[in-house]
Amino acid sequence: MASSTVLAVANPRRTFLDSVRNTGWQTWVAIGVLAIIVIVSVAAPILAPFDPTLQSKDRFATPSLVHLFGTDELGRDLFSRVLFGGQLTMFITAGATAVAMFIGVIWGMIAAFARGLADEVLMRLADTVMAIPQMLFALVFISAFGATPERLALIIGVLLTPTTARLIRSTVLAEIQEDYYTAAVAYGASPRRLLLTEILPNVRVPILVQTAINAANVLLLEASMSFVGLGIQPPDATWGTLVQQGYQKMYQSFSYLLFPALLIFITIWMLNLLADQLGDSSSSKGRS
Amino acid sequence: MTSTLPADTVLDIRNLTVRYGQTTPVDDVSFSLRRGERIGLVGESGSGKSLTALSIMRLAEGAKLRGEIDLGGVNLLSLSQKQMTRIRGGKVAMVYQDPMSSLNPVMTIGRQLTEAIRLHSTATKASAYLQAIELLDEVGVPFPEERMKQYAHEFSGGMRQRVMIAMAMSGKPDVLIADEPTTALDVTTQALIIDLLDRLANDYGTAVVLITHDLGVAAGFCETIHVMRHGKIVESAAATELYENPQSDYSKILLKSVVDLTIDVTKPIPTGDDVLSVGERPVESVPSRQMSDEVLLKVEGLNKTFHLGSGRKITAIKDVSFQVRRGETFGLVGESGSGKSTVARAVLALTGVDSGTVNFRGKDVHSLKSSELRSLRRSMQMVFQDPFSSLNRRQTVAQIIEAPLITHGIGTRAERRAKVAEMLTLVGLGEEFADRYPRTMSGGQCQRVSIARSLILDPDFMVLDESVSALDVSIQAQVLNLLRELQQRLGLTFLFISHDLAVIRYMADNIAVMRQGAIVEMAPRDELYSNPQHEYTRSLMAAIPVADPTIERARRKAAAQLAAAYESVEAL
Repeated sequence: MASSTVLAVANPRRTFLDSVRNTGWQTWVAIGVLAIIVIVSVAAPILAPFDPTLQSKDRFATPSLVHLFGTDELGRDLFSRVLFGGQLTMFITAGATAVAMFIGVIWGMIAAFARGLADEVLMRLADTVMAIPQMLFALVFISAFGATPERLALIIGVLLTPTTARLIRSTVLAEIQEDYYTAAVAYGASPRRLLLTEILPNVRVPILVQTAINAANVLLLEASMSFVGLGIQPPDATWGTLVQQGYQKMYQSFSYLLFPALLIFITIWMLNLLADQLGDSSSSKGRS
Repeated sequence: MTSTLPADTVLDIRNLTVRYGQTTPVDDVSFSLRRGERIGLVGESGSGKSLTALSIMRLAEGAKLRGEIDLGGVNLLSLSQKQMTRIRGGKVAMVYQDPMSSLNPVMTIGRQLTEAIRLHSTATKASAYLQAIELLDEVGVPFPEERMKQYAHEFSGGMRQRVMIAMAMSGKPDVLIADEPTTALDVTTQALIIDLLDRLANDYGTAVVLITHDLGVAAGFCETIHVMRHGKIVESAAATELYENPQSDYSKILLKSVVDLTIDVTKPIPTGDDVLSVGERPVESVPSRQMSDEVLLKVEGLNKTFHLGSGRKITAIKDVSFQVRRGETFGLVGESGSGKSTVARAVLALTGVDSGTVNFRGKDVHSLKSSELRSLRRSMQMVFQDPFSSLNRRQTVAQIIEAPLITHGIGTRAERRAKVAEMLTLVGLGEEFADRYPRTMSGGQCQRVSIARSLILDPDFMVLDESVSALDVSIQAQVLNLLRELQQRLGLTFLFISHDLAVIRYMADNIAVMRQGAIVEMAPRDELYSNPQHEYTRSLMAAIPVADPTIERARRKAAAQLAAAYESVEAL
């Protein structure tokens, strides 16, 4: 008891670190792997041995010490392309996740707080957006505006907004049922205080979990869109585009498809692992 | 040891110890049960009484069990889980506290009962169905044939508990364990359920283990009572013996701290320290409070209906009027669903009303602008039932208590911290609690924090909505004493809401009895208790268990009859 008190004094804002600390090694594995992937991708310009668009005569080379992942149909170094592709993928993932979380959290919170008509309107709107097939939605917008990384991030982010809003709404609604919320209303707390000081700290973990899930979904969506040719256009590439190109040249080079696909797989796996672990930690200690 | 046991012993527990890692929540517990015997395991939360029961059923997951549980010559601790499935519901059955979560919501009652019967016998579907109808009839469910086709949500709490008992009895068990079977039920229903258990024990010779925190309930039902504390049995005695002449300190505290209809309302309730130093320290009586004629709160013609969608609606309160004078405690008593909490929320403008007015210090709280209302909230506060839900689990005690001051922009940081420390001392916690989190504290401590938070703005008026109902007997006594002391010292006015007539009697000067959203009777305390006018008030009073075996047994019979009369009227 004494030690927990000391801990509490030393670090009163402890939601995230505490959740991580309570979950054990799997969380650390997920965080470690994700951190390596992010750092390596971001540091692509420093780490990449070649210019990702530099062509050579050495086409479909198998992996070697010079070309770690081999080369593609134009003789470009696949390792460098995967690194730079990772950079672009990370940009889209981060951007789209930020868009989905930002709009989704505000959307969900307004719905939960306003209740009544506003809630009804916002949630039926969410239903409507969710009823549109995601690919169709993306197709329309990309053919209208073109597929730049920024637009892709925006479109994918918007696609994931309604599910986020729904989750946030139900989490906030559960908190509003608690007596501490009523107590705060009863002593005259302002809406701002109710939201930021009372509710937000209690929904921080679900928000983190949803962020991880959203990031995984963005990766998947981006890869699927690239695969049907709606993604980033050459010569730029994301992992998704690399998978699509590698798939067409599968019989010339196994490594072309393998490495980007593997990276997508590992990243999504680790994000889901992280989400599961964080979710467990919050549900086990959420209610006394 | 075995040789001393009577021949008709059905269950013999010897040196049962339950371990979870480093903790030992059940420590060296021994007791035995004869055929048809009724014993009680009595204790407060955390005493290990429920875990003892779960261990008998071998349902204590992840626990290490030691000792012996001898059921008709078989040591249950040596059986595999597979073998246990035959014992469970067969030779030993259990009834739990919450009948709703124990029944499957998507299966008809009939199907659940029929399956339970077939599990432990070779009956055909048809004959099991007939047996199930018989069982329902036996446990007092009216129109059993029609009820078989219904689902759990179509039953009232009391009826659901009857179904649970029917299900437990379906395997004709030797031992029935009832874990707080009436705690979630209203007092009037409670008497009926205990009476039913009593009858079943008589008719079938089933031995019953009643687990309860309520000494009154145990008094009326049990022949032998084992008082548990911190995992140990601290006293085992015949019921009459225990109540007349408790031996252990803890039993004494439990018995003296009970708030019943006989306690002296002018004195503090004896708590642990008082009981153990009997005779040394005269208990001071609380000086009578100064009540002015000034009406602080006036509620007139309050109505509120909840619309449940698809045209269904529930009238939560109808035409509720009362007034509270400055300095008094106004009591609002009623069973679950009587609308008393809606009144509390309406008084504090936490919920809107359909019609009627709430005048606080001459202002109608429901027609104020939100800024005016927010400043008025400084003078009126609320303490809730659930001590854990009332506190934000991500905030420290100091942050929780300080919040109202920050909200109203009062004082500098240093001043606020000083005030928090003062409040902590006032509610008897001390400054060392300032940096703790609610989850490291007990229910009683959390409730004190809740009270400290409500007092920090120096309010005139406090609504206490079942504020002691979730607390253990000994803690309840402390909190009630604290509230009265604070009221005296700070000149507070209380609206005290409870389902417990004994607690209301101790706290309130004037009392209104609510039933189905309306006030059925309103009178000063002494008048109400000496001469209750409304039939419902009388049945409520008759339903309160008394912690005295002789009185309680006679009382329960009468109460069960009264309640049965009421229930049959309701059923129509």
